[in-house]
Amino acid sequence: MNRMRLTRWVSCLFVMLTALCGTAHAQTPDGAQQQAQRQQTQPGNNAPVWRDVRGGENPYQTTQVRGRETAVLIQSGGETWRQTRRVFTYYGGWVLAIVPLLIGLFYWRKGAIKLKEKPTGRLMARFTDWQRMIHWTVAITFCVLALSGLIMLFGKYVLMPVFGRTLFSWLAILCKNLHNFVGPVFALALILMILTFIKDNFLKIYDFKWIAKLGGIVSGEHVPSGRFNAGEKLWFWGGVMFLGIVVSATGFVLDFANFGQGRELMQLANVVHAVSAMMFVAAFFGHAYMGTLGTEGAYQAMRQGVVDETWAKEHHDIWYQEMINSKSSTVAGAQGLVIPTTIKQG
Amino acid sequence: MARMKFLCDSERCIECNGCVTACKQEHEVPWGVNRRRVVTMNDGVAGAEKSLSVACMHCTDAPCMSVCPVDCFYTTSEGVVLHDKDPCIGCGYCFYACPFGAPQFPQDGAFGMRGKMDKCTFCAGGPEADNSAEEFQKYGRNRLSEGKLPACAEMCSTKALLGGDADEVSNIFRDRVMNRDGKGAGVFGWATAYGKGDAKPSAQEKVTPKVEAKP
Amino acid sequence: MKAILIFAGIALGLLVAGCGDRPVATVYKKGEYSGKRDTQPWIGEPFKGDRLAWERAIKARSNGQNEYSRAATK
Repeated sequence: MNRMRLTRWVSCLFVMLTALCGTAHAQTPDGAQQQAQRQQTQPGNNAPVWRDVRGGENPYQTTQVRGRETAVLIQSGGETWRQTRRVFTYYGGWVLAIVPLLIGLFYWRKGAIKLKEKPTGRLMARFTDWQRMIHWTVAITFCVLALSGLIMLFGKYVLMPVFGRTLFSWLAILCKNLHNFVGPVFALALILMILTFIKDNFLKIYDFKWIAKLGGIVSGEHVPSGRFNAGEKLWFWGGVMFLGIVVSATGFVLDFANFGQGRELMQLANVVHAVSAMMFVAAFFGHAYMGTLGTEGAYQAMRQGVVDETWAKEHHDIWYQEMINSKSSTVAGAQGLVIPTTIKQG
Repeated sequence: MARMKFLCDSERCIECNGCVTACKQEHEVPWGVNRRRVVTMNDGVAGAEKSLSVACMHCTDAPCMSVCPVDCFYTTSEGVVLHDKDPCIGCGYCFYACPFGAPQFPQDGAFGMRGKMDKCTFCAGGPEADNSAEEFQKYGRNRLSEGKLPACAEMCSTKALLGGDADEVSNIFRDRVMNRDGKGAGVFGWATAYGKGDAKPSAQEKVTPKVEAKP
Repeated sequence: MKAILIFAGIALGLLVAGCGDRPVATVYKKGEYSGKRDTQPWIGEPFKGDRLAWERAIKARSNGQNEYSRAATK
C-alpha cells in the first residue's frame, strides 16, 4: 500500500513536471481498469496495456525474476541519457583540449610570475607536514582518477584507433578498477583536506577587490591577499568543495551498485559525475599551472612547506604582516616565522 | 540474409516462465543473471492481465553499441546483436542505455562490482569458434549454428514467443491474426479497432470479462 | 559600447554553440568491425559451409512454430 502511494506521488510529480515542460503525456493512473473495459468494447485491443508498458512500472506489474527493476519492460531514460552523454562528451572534449592550449598561450605570451625583489634567504613556514601530506594525497588520487576517467570517456575515440581494440580494452579494464578503488580514497582525503584548509579560505573584504582586479594578472600589479588569495579561495569553494563533493557523491552512487539504486538514479549520477568531473579537470589545469610553472616559488611552498620572505611579501602580504605581528603564535606549526637552515632549491 | 527477431504474443503468453527456465538450462547461465524474463501487466486484474516475455531484442540501431566504451558489440549477418566478453570492462553503460534491461552483470567481487556483461545471444554464441568449449562457457550454446532457433521460442508451449527470421515470424503472426477473428470484417480486426457492432461477434466477445475493483 | 560588443559576442557564441554538434555514435559498417571475428553459423560442423542447407533448416524450424500450417500438413 505504501509503495503504491509512493508510486502515485512520483507519477503525480512526473505529470506536473511534464506539464511544466509543456509536453502532453498520456499517462493514466488506471491502465488496468481501462484495459478491462477496453476488452469488452474492443476485444483484442491492448492499447492501455501497451501504454503502461511504455510508461514504465504500474502497480500491477509483476515478474518472477528477482532483481532490481526486473518488472520494467521499457525504460525511456536510457535514450535521454545516451543523447545527453553524446552532447557532453563532444563539448567536454573540446573544453578539455582548449583550456590547456589557452594556458599554454598565456604562459608563452606572459610567462611566469617572477619575484620582483631578491629573495632574502629567510624562510617562512607556509604548510605543515599534515597539510602537505593531505594536499598531495588528494592531488595524486585526483590525477589517477582524472586520467582513468578521461581514458574511459574519450579513449574509444582517441586511443582505440591507435592502440587497437585488445590493448585498449586492457587499459580500460585497468582504468575502471583504478577508478573504482581510488575513488573512495580520494573522497575521504578530500573531506580531510576541506577540514584542514577551510579556516583560511573564508572570504574577506579584500578578496572582493582582488576579484574585481582579477588578481592583477592582466595589469601585473599586486593586489593584497591573505594566506590564500581570492583565486585560491574560489578554487577551494568552487572546485575542491563544490565540485569535489558533487563528484564524490555521484561517484559513490555509481561505484557501489549493490544498494538497490535504479537505472534512473545511476543515469542521472553518471551525467552529473561526468560533467562536474570535466569542469573539475578544466579548473585543475589552472590550479596546477599556477602552482608550478606559473608562479615562481609556489611549488616549493607545497613541496617543502616553506617560502622565502620576499615571496610571502609579494604574493600574500596580509598573511605576511599577520605572521610578523604574531611571532609568538605557532599554531599548527605553520604560523610564525622560521629562520632555519637554507633549503635546497628544486 | 535473414534478420532474426523475437516476437511475443501477449494474447497467448500464460506466464509459465518456461522460456526463462529453458534459457537458464540451455546456456547454464550463472546465478543472478537473467537473460530472459516474463513480465505480467495488470497482474490479478480480471480481463486485463497480459504477460510478455522479454530479452535482448537485437535492435537494428542498438543503443548498447553506441555507448560501449570499448566497442565490444557487433551485429552478425543474421542481424543478431552479439558481444565479445574479452574486452568488456563491466562499466554498466549498456545496461543504462538498453530500453529492455537486457544486459546483465554477474556480481564480481565485493561492493556490487560488475563482472563481464552477459545477455541473450539469440542462441548464437559469441566470437569464439562455434560450439567450442570456450564459447559455451562464455556465451552458452550456439543453436543457430546447429540450424536451430532459440531454445526459449522453440519450447514455448503456447507458441506465444516466436523467434526467427522477421519475415517468417510476421507470416506466422499474420496467419494467427487471420484465424483468430473469423471471417469478414473480423479478419482485419474491425471490432478491435472500432468496437463491437458491425463485425461478427468473435470468440472473445462471448466471454464477458468481469470487471472487478482493484485489489 | 565595448561591453555591448562583448555581450553580443558571447550571446552569438552561445546561440550558435549547437551548430558544431555532430553525432559521436560509432557507425558500424559491414566488415569494418575491428574486434574478434565471428564465423557465419553455417561454416561449422553440421552444415560444413552449405549456406542454403542452413537456411532451409532455419526456415523449417521457423515454420514449425506455426501450428496452423502444421495442422494443415498433417
